[in-house]
Amino acid sequence: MSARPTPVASSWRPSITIPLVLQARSGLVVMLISLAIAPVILSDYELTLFATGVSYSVAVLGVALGFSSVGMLTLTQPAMMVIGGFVALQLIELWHFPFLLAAVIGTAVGMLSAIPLGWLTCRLDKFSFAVLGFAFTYLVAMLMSSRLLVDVTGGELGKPFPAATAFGLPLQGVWGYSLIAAVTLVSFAVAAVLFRSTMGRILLVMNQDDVVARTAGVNTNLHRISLTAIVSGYGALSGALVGQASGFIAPPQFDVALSISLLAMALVGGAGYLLGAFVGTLILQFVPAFLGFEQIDREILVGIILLFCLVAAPNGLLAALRHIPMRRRP
Amino acid sequence: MTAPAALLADAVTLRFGALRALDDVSISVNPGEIVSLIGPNGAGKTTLLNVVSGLLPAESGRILIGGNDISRDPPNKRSLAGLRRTFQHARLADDLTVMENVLIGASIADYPGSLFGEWLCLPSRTAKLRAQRDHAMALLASLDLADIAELHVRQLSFGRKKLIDLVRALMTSPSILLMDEPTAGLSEAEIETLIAVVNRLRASTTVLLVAHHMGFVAKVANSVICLVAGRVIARGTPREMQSDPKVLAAYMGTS
Repeated sequence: MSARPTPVASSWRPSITIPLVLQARSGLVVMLISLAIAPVILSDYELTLFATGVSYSVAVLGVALGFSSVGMLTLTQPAMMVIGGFVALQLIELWHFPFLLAAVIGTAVGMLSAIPLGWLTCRLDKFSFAVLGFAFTYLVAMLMSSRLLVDVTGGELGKPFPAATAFGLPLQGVWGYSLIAAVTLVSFAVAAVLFRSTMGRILLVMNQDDVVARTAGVNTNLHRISLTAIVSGYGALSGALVGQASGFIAPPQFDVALSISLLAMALVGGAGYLLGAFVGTLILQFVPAFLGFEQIDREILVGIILLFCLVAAPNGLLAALRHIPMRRRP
Repeated sequence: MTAPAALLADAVTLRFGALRALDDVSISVNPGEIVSLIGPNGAGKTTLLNVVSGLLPAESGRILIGGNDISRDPPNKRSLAGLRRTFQHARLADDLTVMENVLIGASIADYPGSLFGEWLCLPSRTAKLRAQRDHAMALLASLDLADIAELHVRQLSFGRKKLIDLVRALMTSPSILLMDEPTAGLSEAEIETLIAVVNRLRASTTVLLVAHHMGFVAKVANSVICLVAGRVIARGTPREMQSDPKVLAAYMGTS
């Protein structure tokens, strides 16, 4: 046996090669630049559309986290969005909570309500869990639109979502957008940190071989529950941000069709990339709205792009872009 | 009063349908002992390791570590109690590097509480992660694997994957190590390295291993247990077992 020197000890870094955080830092920089440029080049109306798209990207990030780490097909995000959005709205309306605090509490409520779902992920296979998520979203959408909660949610018509305030003044226009952009950027950065840690590595191993993780001392059930709560937290936060961005929140915004759209956004952008959620959301949510597509046309576009990506870029557009060979000039 | 066995399987029975994979199997391994399980294919050797590590629940019987009954504990609790294992076919995450795979085996006794320190990059936590990495590198070096620490596992041969599986199991300096056919797929040189490593473990670790390579067994094992059709048919030193008529009959197919 030889006692060799440790060649990589000097270049030690506390990070791992989990796909999600590949180029995470550059992804965050690209996001920061995009978010900073938007108010300069977009009109007020277009900026509102962009802010709404950016808000959706937080829910998409949750879907991407679940999919890229343990292969979880999360179809519960619309339910979590409606929970987070209306909890925040209630706190703002009834107790005049500041928006950020209301959004954080809405996120926490979303995470807590996801714990029973997380418990079920330990007992169901991936397909059964996806179906269950679909049913859960349908149930919550119906419940939120029902007469039972009409005073809270406004039923199918929804309710206006008050603008956040700073020093007693409402944050509107660029300032309101800046708040949403900052929260979104922080939530993406948190995801990058989370999945660079030991937890990220464990989740990836669980995805590849559950037995290895268990025999290494990992409580895999606890991790599945935690991951479900984190993913749902992103959904709930997104719900509050969507309300803030559009100034309005209504249960029909968060129906079961949205769960498929969010999954499509994650897959089109590239679930294995931090920036993928952002790119996918812009392509499938913001661009059609920017071009003034009708709802039905948007859904057709989502279907076409999703089909294209499944065939031409099964790991998402960012993965496909990475593999385009650079041409050299003669 | 004698010290309890490091590992005791007491009257363990497990059936797969009509097949009795383990039939009232009782074995004990004393602290620091290296015991080898041998037997023809289908004898129940790997099944016994799976029951001991908690991957399969025994229908009846008990598993004790140092006198403590762990029969109802899940695999992760058994691992935290000091029991680690390797696999017949190395089970590694192909998308991770060798180092990252090995670090999965690092102690997570303070986890998930330590995560906050990790997320906030607290110096104490960073130092601990660095120490874990240095320990992993030292273990890899002991098996001549230091130079492949940053390679992706998918680039490696079957034999090297087996050795990395072993390094991962050794990350916490386990008190009990289960090894499932550790020599399978290894070159002769790698087997010699493995013999040295296993012999060095003797001072601190109790080992129960499944092996077909009798040369390896003879060089490392204190005693050998022969399983046939889920039953223990003989136990003795490697030399005794090589001339035991029941063992010979089992391997010749006349048992």
